[in-house]
Amino acid sequence: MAETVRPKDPEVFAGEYALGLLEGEERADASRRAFSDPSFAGAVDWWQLHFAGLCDLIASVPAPTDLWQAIERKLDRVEFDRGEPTMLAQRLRGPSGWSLTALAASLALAVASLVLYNQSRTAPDDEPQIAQAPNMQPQLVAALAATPDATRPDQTITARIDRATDTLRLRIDAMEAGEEFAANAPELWVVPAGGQPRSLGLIPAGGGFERRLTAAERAMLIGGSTLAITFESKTGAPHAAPTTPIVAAGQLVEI
Amino acid sequence: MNSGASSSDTMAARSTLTSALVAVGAGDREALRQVYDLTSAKLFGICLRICRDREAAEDVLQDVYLKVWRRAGRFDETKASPITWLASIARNTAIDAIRKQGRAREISDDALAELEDDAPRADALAEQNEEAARIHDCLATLEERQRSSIHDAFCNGLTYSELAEQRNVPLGTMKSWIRRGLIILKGCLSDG
Repeated sequence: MAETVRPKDPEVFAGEYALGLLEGEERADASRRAFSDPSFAGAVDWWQLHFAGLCDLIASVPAPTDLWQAIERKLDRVEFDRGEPTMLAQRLRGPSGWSLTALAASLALAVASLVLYNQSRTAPDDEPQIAQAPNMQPQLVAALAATPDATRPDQTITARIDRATDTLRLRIDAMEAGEEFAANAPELWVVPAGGQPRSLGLIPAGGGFERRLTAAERAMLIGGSTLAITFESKTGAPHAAPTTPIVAAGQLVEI
Repeated sequence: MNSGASSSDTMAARSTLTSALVAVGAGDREALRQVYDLTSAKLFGICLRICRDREAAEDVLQDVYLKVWRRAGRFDETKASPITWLASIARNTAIDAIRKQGRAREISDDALAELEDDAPRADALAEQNEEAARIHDCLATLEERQRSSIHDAFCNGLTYSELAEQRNVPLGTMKSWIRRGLIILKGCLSDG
């Protein structure tokens, strides 16, 4: 049989990714697609669920007797309010975790409350005043809500893009890496509507952060784009694609 | 394919595990202990097979149950059986770990033989249901080299280049085998 197989046939590509056959740039490419393309993420899920039946054939091996104690110690260090996450409860999507399109409905509420907040507040002391000139460039803001993969539900991250100075400002509170990512660092991603996630680089785990944006970054940081944070390896940033679960996400809104 | 375990045993096991996961999702740590007791041997077997290093597999297993703790609230039993959901988390976590950290290549022949004994086991048969059996039936329709390559890719967490090297074939040939195999599997699994 000599039928040709297009390497990028999405169903086959999803199967290759689900099997773990891909590495390097191909793997990063598939990871990006799983993040931003719900039908590709669904295909990956489909393969995973079917292949999981093969696990029946893998021999069970008793875990070491002290392993549960080690898990318990880590659980003790995790502060996690188990209140029902009705806004953010969504299905597991693909190897990396969340589908950003699935977050859209829940983000609308967070965005609306942030817009109201900005319209009603007076400027706090720790933020510089911005001259309210009539022809001022619009600001973009995002409130990044904690996802169920976040370690602390009281995690608060707000982002502000100042078009007048092409500056990104972040305020990060109560963000902690889960035990398994303790050696990683937070990395900020922008996902243009309908596009693929692009790294905006590593960010600090707390406090304020500010930097100038490049022209390419400015083009992606527009209303409707989503900002997201994952904990990635400290080396090799900016990474090609997120590889760990999203801990915070929010949509940019012009105000 | 009918195993020695009755279908009611399978349903009872599945129901117990599902209830435990629901309780974990509500923050019940005792329920996580129950999930651990019921599943740690199976999940450790999966991690060990992929990591090939006991210490690495132990680290991965801890991460797996921390993920279960966080994600149990999202488990949807209409989409997958609980053990399938758990096994997927275990496998994905193990694969992520070896992609990032590399994996121990040193493993004794005896240990390798023990790990790769793939005859269906009594505990496995007790959990097998109609849905899981389809992958076995569909894989059986493939050419042997496609079937065994896909099987090794899944169970051992090998990449295309590792598989090609292991079987001493060009990379393009291995990709071609597996891609054709996936197309056939897709058709078979989508039927009925």
